[in-house]
Amino acid sequence: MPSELVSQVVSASMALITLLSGALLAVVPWLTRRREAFAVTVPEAAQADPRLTRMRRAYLAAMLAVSAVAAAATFALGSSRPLALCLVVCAPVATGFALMLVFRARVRALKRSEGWQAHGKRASAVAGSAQRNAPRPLPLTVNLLYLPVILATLALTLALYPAMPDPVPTHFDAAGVPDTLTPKGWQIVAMPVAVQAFLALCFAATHWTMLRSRRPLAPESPAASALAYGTFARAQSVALLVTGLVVTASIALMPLAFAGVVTPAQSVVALVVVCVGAIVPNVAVSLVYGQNGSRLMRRMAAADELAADDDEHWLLGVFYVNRDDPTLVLPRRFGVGWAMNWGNPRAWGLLALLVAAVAAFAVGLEVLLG
Amino acid sequence: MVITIDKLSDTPLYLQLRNQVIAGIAAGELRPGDALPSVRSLAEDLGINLHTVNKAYATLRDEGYVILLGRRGAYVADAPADPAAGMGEKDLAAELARLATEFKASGGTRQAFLDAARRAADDLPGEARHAL
Repeated sequence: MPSELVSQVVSASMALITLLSGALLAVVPWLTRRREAFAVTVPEAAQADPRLTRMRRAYLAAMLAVSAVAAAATFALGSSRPLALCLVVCAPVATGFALMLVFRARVRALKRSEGWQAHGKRASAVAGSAQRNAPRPLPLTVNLLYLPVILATLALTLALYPAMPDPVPTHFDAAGVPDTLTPKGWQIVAMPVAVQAFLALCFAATHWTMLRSRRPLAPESPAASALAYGTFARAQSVALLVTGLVVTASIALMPLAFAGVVTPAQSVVALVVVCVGAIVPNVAVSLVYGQNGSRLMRRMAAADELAADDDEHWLLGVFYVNRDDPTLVLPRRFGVGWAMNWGNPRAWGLLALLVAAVAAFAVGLEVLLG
Repeated sequence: MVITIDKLSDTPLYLQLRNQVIAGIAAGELRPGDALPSVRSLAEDLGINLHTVNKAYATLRDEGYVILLGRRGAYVADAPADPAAGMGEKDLAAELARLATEFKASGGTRQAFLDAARRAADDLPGEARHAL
């Protein structure tokens, strides 16, 4: 495959990822719970307010425009200027955050002037049959499925090992020319397995946060929101597992490339296709269920009353800090996914653990490559 | 069943929890042998201290509504066959007297109190209704 075509495919895929992630951010106001608008707690009935509708549409239009421009710029830049490319790919995320802050300030002003206040500080939990009926995310044991994938890759590496050249080209530049050569040895066998083990650990850790999260029941409709959240969390855990298995399995391209079974160009294209394919199930789950399963509840009657308001604990609308709350993980406020309670010291411990794990992995890979 | 607490209420949180669990048992939404949520998950779902949930569960255990199995969690106990095992007759009389006094003090009449008490008794599930 000519390198020109390879770089075209890679650029197009990067542009597609930029466009997809930007578009997903653009529809976030339609995916969040009805008791929230731009990270501000509002009564569900207030969502029909024409001013809020206008803000959502303005956000959508601005985000779609920025994402389209960023995608075009990504395609044009290609891999010629990595730093500029990185900035362009991150542009929709940064714009989404900035726009959210702007509209958040407006919604807060609206909330004050309209007197949308909580009459009480209620919180709900489910017990008995309501708890039993609510779906749970997949159990943590499903992560054992990564083991056969890793073992199969190990077997493949060992089978291909005799066919590999000495030294083995272990890293390729953008044009597909090898730029790192590693002498044949146990490192060659260990490297793909180490990368897979690290990826599997990351996916399993993400799965654990889903299981560890608080169930965010809306006090206005506790039983329905427990069912909706459970369905959403289960679907998220399934999508994560599928993504994780596909991405981990794709590392088998490494020994295939070492042995020259696939050319560097082919493996790059395959990797890019895998990456695009991996985000599709996640985007689909977000669009179908909405954050906390809010889309499943969109036909229910909107509550006029606001039962609780925890705006004071959300810094900049996205960082939850509450020392009086034993919660460690909770659903995000603006967007689809989960957040940490930074008022809980264990959240900082986990962050330190993550940083240490990434650093150890990077150092380990350097050592393996020599 | 749904457990809802209000952090702005005058009633202590552990008592709100206890009352809701008892109401759930009375309404048949929690049956003997049913597991209650674990202390940690209930504390996190409600955003309250773990000690508060522990205190509520310990109170329910002391009153015979719940059996605590250490790390295995809390379960609804069998309905007490002996009426004195739940809320004692003396406690019931004292609570009723307190309610009646409060109701009178807030301007209620004796007849209105009796009517409300009868309605509350009639709403109890699982028992044949008969005139008081």
